[in-house]
Amino acid sequence: MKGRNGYTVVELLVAAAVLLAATGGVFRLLDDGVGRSALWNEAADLHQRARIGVEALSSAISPAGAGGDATPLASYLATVEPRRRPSGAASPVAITVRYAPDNAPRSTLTSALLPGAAVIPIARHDGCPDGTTACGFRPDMNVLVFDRAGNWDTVTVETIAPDTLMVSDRPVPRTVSYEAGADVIQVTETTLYYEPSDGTLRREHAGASNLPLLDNVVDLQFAYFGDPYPPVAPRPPGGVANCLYDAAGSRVPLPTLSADHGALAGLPLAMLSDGPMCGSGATAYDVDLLRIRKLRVVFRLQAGVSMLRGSDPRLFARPGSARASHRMLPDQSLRLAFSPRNLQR
Amino acid sequence: MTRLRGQNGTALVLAMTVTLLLAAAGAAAMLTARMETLLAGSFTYSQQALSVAEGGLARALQDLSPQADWTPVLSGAPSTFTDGSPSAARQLPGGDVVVICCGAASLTSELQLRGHGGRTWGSRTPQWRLYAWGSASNWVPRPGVSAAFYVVVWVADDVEDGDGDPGIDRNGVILVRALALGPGRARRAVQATIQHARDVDGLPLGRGVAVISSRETRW
Repeated sequence: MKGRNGYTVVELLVAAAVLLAATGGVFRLLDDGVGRSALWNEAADLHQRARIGVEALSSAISPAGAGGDATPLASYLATVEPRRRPSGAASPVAITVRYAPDNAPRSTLTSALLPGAAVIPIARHDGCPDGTTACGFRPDMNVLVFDRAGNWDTVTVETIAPDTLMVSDRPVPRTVSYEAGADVIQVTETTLYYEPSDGTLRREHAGASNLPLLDNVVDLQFAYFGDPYPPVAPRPPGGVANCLYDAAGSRVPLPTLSADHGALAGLPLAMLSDGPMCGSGATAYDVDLLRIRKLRVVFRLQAGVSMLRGSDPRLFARPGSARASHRMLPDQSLRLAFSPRNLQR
Repeated sequence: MTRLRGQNGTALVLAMTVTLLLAAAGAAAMLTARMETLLAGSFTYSQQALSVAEGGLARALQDLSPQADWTPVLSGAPSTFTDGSPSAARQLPGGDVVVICCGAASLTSELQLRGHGGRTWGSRTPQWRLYAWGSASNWVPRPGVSAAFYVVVWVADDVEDGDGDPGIDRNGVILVRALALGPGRARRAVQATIQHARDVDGLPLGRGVAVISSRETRW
């Protein structure tokens, strides 16, 4: 080497220190950016899951009790139940909702329907669309059969023939006999429930499908509020008794509750399953379900990555391994209230 | 030709590399934030549209309530909630241009085409008649929300009244559908089957409306 005497140790040390500081600063920035990027992505995912949850709950609960043009379902049976069908016990983390979907075909029985009968004769009436074989009913449709006394069952259409449905009982065998004139209408019956074993919100159609809607759910609670005064429907035909009226048409005495939630009364879960029961057989339901006017839903979601969850139990239902607060994504809790229009009487 | 000698330019390369890395991280963050904003905005508009549609339905029921006979509205008599000729093209707050009625590209034709899920009852098929239309600012008190939404309400006879004429209401039961149109192409609709309010013996009271059934419908 010419013209140069090399570097001194001091120069090398200073250069190394400067390089180390600069590189350290750059990597710190990069590390922070990468870490925050993961946080942002997870936050976006959490918010999207929250939106999906709100939409799923809203689309399932809001139409509760909707019926056909002449058949308000909520006047004839319980369209909201705090349980899974067919045999689930009353639970704060499950809800089953029934309603007739948009453009649902409907008809009435032309003759009595006995338990076990697989052929349903239906009436052709003004509401049956032109060109339809069985008043608009089609194979694979889920159908509700119900009478004015509060009895009901669900079946699935297997095949159709002129003014006739061939059906199979689903999800449970029918045990009730229906007189001619009982209603038949397409129904959507949806169950939403929290499965704590895998932290999912699931949507179930009893006897047909059971699919996860959301993951990383850490809590789901349904609460019910209703009319303090005893229900007045379903009112059975003369000479027939049900849970609300005796055979003479007089009201069965039921308690008036204290309105502790504005004009409504809180309906504890126990009240919704302790009887007296309406309907009969496998589809019998508690009379207090007919009081329901409003529902409150609280659900809580967590970050899917445990490295973004801290250890404070107030913020994290399931603690994770995050130590730095700026690398934590706290659980999100949402509180929703629904007053389905068809339940307002 | 100039050749790079020694360490000339090394700092520039290093600085540009670091700048590019940081820019990429920043761009990714901005993209995420932008997407999140768009998704949240779309969700908000959609939820607001549903509420506005419900409000539009309630507003229409307010006008239908005092009428003892709904046949005139099935013949095209509008409510008090209108904002001019329905045949003129309208620019919605979100930028969309729509024609409410009538003609092949109008909302009314679209409803008539799809409103019954492809079903037909021949000459009895319900004919949707325009009943109310206008900005939600006419009746929604929150300016930030109401100014962004437009509402259209239609009425139709039910098919089960037995008279075979979709222009005459014999049984005191009609269908009402309300559509809310908002920014970001947010469109939500609700439909209700209504009847005249009745007393405890089931006799019509002559005024008042009872909702038999109500649901959100696809649009």
